[in-house]
Amino acid sequence: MTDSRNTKLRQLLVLLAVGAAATVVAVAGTGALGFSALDAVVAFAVAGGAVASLPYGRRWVLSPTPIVQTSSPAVARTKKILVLAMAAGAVAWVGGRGTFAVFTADTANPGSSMSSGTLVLNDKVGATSCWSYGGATNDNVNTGCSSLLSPSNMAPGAAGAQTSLTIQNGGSLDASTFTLMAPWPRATLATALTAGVAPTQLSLTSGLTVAMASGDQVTVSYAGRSQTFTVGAAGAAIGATVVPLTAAPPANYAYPVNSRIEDLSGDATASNTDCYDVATTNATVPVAGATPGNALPFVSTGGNPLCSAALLWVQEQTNGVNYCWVGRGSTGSPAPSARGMCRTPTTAALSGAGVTAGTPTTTLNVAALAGNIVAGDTLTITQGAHQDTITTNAAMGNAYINDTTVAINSWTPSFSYTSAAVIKDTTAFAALDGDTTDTISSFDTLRKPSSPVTLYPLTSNTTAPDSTATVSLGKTGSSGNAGYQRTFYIGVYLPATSSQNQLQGLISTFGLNWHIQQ
Amino acid sequence: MKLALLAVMAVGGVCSFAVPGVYAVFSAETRNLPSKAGSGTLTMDLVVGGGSPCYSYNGPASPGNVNTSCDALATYTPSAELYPGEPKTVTVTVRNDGSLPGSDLLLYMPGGCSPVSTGDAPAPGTGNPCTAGGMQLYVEETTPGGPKCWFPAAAGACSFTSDLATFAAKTTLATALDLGAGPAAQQTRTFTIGLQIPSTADNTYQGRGASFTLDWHLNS
Repeated sequence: MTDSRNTKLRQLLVLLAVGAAATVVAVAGTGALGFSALDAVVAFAVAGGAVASLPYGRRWVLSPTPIVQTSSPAVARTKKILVLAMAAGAVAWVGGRGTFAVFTADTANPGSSMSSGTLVLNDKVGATSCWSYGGATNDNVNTGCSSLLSPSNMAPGAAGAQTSLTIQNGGSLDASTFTLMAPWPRATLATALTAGVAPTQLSLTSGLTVAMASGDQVTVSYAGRSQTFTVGAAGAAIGATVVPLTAAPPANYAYPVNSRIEDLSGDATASNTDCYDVATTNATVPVAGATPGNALPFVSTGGNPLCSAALLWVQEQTNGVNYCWVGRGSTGSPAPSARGMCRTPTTAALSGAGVTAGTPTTTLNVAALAGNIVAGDTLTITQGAHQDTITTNAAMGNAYINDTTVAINSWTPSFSYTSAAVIKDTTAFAALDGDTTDTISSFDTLRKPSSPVTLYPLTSNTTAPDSTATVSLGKTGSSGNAGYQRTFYIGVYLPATSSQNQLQGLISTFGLNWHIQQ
Repeated sequence: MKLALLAVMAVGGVCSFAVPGVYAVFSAETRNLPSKAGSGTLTMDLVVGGGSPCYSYNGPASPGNVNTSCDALATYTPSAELYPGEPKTVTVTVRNDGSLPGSDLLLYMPGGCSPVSTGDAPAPGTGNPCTAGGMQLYVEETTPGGPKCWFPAAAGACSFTSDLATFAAKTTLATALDLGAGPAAQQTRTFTIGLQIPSTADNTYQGRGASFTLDWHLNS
């Protein structure tokens, strides 16, 4: 009997110790003792284990006793003690914080708060701002910013078209990464998808501009949600408004009308780039009554020939520093520029009163240049039947977009040329007319989203951009070459080669995609 | 107890796999609406006399924007056959049907000139109208601003002072007669081609003719 009592007492003490430990650990887990969340998890697990062990412990306490006297006062007292211990533990676990100290000290830091910054992009063409958050797809992506260029009656070898674009970070956070890439073929959803229901097709709000082949992967996205489907065996031709799907899973979201549809298999070859050609019609010819492209039997849009012939350049000019990111003169082009300038089909006009016949000069004063002139280039100046040839100063003759002077070797005009004279950089035209590499199609296939142009901050005209910079487009209000805004000049040119009749009467449609990331 | 442990382990497993997904960053993106770059067209048509337009892009020689089947200036019909000193003039209207201006109009004679017999003369002569002193030719523009003689080059209206043989040497674009700029888009230029057997021609030119092609070439 004494042994039995001792055994029960020992077991009771062990059980009380386990209960107390569970209680302390539970209190610690609440954070009252300043432990970490991980500690709390551990405490929770241990406490849970301890609590879970109570029935076993109870059986352990009770099982060795051959005589079960449920009605004895000792057992009843034990039960009450156990229940009280469990209740104390539970109270401590739930609401017992701060009740286990005698001496206390406390400080409080009320009113703390945290907030997230913003990262938004402004695509500014002229005076028109276009914010990334203004897009219909509600995901800080705006695909509706102003069109950049629209030359409509281009002839081979004639001056191209150029425009400027300013990209601004309008947010409160710096963008560490700033990239430029070709858009990829896309459309928008005309009929909403039902969550949980597998679609058999995607209805589009307008006809496809790029065919989707069987097996192509298309992504439907809206407000940060997305899902990828596989194009069905029939594929979808240019102009199609329905894309058949195969083995489509149930929609993971109720994608609404105007959700974005993108062909992730696009921009692989010149035939499926974002840039695509159509032939002009009587309704779209640039000169009323002119022969449209669709009347010419030798013109075909197959393979997007104009996209594959027209040259594209993107040159940055921020705070007076230039760099050719895309086009002839960019890294990877046949003739990378050490001066930071793209090759452009530059023509210019004299400013002011022009030049006087017989008076030597070493500087051409010109209206703000719409292109670059490389030191050493040969220029012609023509007015009516008069024409002179001029060479730029090989050491000082670099002239960039917007410059108003060009350093030349001493030239004595044979005629008093006025502002009506046309100055042409024949070296630049010759270089571009032989260029079959820096085309819009090449940009699309080389600079798709998986391999964008990373727009590091500029340093100087003659050095590479800073690829180690941690900020590429600073938060709003910041300054410098990685400040909150950077300006780019985008241009196109149709080079003159021997036979280009197959390029008559075509319209190439293309875009640029700008992306920043925290 | 085993279930509890398994549950804890499962939670740990889920955490270890889920953690990489929480490091997303803010991003912003804009895309410019599609830009459009359109090429113009440069097409032309010829109207010979009162005939129908002959479009450069609509002939059997297409797809090169070259039509080699436009109307002849003259044919070997008895009514069209010439006496010595009798001029034959044909009006040719060149129209630019495209949207681009023509920077340069050229005229040349690919293949030169070949003498032929008319076929309706019982005893044709042996004279060669394609040689010097043979058939005479001029090219005169009548619009705009009055006549301008392009071949042989002279101010004002043309006269028969040069021969077909001289022009027949212009067999390529490189040696072509340069008719200057234009026509502009949707505009026309009108020319008169004059042909004549010299009034001094002898009987060796009876029943003889000249076969040649005139090629009108317009550059943008």
